[in-house]
Amino acid sequence: MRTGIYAVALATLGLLLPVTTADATATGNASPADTFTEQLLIHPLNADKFLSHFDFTVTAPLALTADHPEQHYRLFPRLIGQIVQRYGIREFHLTFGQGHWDYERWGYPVEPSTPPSLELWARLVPSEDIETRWNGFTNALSGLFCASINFIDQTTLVEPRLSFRSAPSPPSAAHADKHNDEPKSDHDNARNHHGDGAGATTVLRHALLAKENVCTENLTPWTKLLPCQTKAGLTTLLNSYQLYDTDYHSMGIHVTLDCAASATCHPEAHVTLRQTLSVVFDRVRLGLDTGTPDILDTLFKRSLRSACPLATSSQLAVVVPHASPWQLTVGPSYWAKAPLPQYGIAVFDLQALLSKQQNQQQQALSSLTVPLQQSDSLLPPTTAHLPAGVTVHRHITGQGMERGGLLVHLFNRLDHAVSTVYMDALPWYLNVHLHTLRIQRHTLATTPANAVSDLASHPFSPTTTLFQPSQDHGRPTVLELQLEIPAQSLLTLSLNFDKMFLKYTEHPPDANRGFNVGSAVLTASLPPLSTNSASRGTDGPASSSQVLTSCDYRTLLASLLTSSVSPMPNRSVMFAKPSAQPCLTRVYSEPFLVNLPTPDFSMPYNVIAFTCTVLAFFFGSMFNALTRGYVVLGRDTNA
Amino acid sequence: MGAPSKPHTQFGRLAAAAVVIRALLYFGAQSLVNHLQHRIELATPLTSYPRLQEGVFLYQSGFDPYDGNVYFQPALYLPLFQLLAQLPAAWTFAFYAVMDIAIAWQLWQIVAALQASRSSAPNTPAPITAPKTAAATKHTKACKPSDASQNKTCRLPATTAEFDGSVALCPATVAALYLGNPLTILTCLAHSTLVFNTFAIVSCLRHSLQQRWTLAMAWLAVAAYLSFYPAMLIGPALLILGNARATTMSFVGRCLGVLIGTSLGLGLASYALVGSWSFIASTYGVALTVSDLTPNLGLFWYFFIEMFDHFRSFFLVVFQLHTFIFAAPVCIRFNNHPVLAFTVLCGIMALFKSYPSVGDMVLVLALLPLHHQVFKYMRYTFLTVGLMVYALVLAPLFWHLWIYQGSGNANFFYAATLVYAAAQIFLLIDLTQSMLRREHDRLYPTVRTLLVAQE
Repeated sequence: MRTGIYAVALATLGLLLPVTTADATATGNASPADTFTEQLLIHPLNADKFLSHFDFTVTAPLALTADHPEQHYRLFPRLIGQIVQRYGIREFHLTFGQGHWDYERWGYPVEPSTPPSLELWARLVPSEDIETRWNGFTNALSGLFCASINFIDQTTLVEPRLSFRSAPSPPSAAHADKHNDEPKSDHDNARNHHGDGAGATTVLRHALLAKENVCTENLTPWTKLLPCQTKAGLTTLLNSYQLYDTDYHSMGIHVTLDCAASATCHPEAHVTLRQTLSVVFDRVRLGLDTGTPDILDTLFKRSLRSACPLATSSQLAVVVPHASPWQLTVGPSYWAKAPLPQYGIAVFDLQALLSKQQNQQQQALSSLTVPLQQSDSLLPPTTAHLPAGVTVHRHITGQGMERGGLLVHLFNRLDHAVSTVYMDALPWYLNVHLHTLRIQRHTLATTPANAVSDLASHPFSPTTTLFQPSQDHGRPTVLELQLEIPAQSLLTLSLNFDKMFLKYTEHPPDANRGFNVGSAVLTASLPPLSTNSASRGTDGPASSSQVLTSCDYRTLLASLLTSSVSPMPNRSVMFAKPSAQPCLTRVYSEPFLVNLPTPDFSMPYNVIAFTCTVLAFFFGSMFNALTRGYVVLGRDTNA
Repeated sequence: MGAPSKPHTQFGRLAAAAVVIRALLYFGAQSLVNHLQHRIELATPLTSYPRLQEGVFLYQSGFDPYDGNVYFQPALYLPLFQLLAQLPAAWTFAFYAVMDIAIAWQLWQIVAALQASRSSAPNTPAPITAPKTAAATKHTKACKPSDASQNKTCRLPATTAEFDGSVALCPATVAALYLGNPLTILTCLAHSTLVFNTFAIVSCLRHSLQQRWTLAMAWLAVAAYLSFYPAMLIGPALLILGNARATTMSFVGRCLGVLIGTSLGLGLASYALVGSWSFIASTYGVALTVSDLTPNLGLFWYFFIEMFDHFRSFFLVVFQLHTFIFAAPVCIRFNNHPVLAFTVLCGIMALFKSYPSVGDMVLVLALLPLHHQVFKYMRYTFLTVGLMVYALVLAPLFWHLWIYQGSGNANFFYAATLVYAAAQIFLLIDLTQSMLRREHDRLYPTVRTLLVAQE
């Protein structure tokens, strides 16, 4: 299995050298040029769900991966480095997803990409041969991850002009000091792009493969890219029996060059590879209600025995409500303050706890266990769900297979207007009628979460509308709307489309199942947490605005890494001051399944026969009528 | 035509009645109208009003309407409907109603012109000595056998008018038959842009009969611009124009000049409007290659849904050629009955064009009364009417079963379209053979009562 995957990857890349990503002799002290950190965040989302988020980050100087005479890969995987270098990639994000992230109950995810399918978006250096490079790039990734990424063609490919421009910059652990500056520059970039989309120095491409399942065959190559693979550290917890038996699963790989948005790269720039894995466990399904279970054993059916020796930092962070009683066989390395006041974070420094060499104060452990004293201990103080402030829901309307429609609900439950960009890419076989686009605004009631208080709808117009009509068997319809959603309101978008009739060979084998259409993406500029906290007083403790955004999670993870460097007394680590910049995150809608009218697949010969008979009947009769004349029968005998 | 006031008031009453019926349906059953606009029997992708609205919307918003997959209609509709879009929807309805009335008026004029030519008939040439028109001279070979057989037995040549006797066609009847035809009313309510095509074709026939050759050719060019199939009507149009004058090559040349000039003008105007030639691929290209497989009453859609990919181009060429190959033979055979040739070719278009709808049939049914003199020779009237009604009733039912109920499949609707095609075929064959039989009877009055067979 493993060799097979390597063979595919190697054949695709045309690599001849064996791949050795990790130097076995390396010690835990990584050189400053080349760092690796691993983190696992366990976070109760609500009464029933646990989020486990793995974050593995490798940062390397760009010179290692650029076209440099001595290409030296130590921690950064050569496979990725060569892809980035060869195909002129400035940034790419590949996410395998399965299951639906429930924004209404779980808030925002740590990693913003949540489509229940495969998502790839990348920035490429523009050049003449961009199509060739893109094809090579997708084929390389396809071989590397054993996925159908090479099926991304012109029918799924989108070049967004407003969305994705403002990607939240992934803060790398090694550059945590620079972190506060990065969102600002990104936001400035975003503003520039909004002004003139054509002035972009890189080409942004986005594609969703709506019908792509994620499985262990994708996980295995993904773990191979890690310095410790699955031999030590947090990766030993990656038990695929458990990971795929979850409500939600999202596995991503994010490669970013510091110079992602600019034409030329600074020689001292760094390249960051982040591998993330988010899974949402269901408490009832895990049987957490009985006894005093160990959380790692319950979630992953594994226990931690070692930290990755190559990692600069190796952390397990468990978010727990302050109110609940805790009993641990092993006390955490320290307690950190969560951005929300009702939580605390127990941080376990695995290297300190598990490696015998570095153990001074505490006794070494054969394995780390985090048992819970009682089942309710991880419940948040309020079991009311905390919906994300800005959410999007997309429904398909209409009956029959002739026509259909989209109904999109854009919620803004915040107390102020939010600037968003809605992007929807519909495949060519849905003929969108843009003139039927209607946008209505409703006012939300403040008490029940979703109730619409103002039944009267008001017409609403987007700031910018970008529309790319689809082409037959070609590019998809792309609709991008820049919307300033007013405070406490609901926008409903409706749009009609005709369903096309496909040739019988174009239908999939399970034609009556329908065609998958990928999620719509809402890029929202969310307010920073500090502003939210300020407005919290009026709304009470269960305010919907107390939801961490992806940016907040990112800041939290980064601050845990920096704080671990200096030993802190228990329960006194301050969460890094949240950035004052708005967070640009993405919210994904539900995908949908559309039923196209099907012909009878057994009919080709019959149809050819019948239709040709009709044609021949007419031709014969007409030929007869036009070429023959009337004569009187028996005229010769009468005459 | 200098008609007295009485026919005018008669037409006025007819038009008023037609408008009242349409207005009652339009304003009384708005949901029905919305439904009709999406009926595939009434509007094809090339004539659909919702698609036109989308095209106009894109055009207004500054997008290229031909860039997408929705708008396949001629560019000159865009400014017209942009104007109508500014006004309340009732104006669009009024516009379509006026188009129907205008078509009826053209039919009225056609009948009047036919009556006039028949009454002043002494110079109507007998078929055997008919002057060869341009279209016919090119194909003298095909005419020879029949000429020879007729020459042998040629006695008592009679003019058409004499033979028809006292039977006269009332213009009001033809106009009323068109305006009162339920299919016309449905097409009007569905706002199918096919009515412009119909108007252009009918105008071409009218001006041909009235010997205004410039206008006739200009309208033919408009019809061809709107949906290229009417280009095959050049033969009958030239025959009508040529039968009344000493036809010379230069006259034919001038006619073709006007035709090509107008077409070029329309093409250039379209180019000026949208700023690119992309409209050619999106209008004529789609009609020729049948890239949009939305079902209609024609024979193309299911055939090309089910066709194997590697035979697709071959059958596409065969099917499109099959539509056009009848143009010359029909003109040659009916060179002394060019109006019949005109009608038969319209029927062939309605039957074999790539995106037909009942609107095409409406034109054939409107032209059919012009040949009332052959009705008594028709042998399959009951069968034709029965099949037509059967197909038009069952097609919507089967469509509903397939698309909405899910209890039928595509074959149901396909069967209905086959029956519809069969009905049209019976009508065309019957019309052709009746005219031939009538010609025979006219030429050989003495054997009218004897047994006659086709040889």
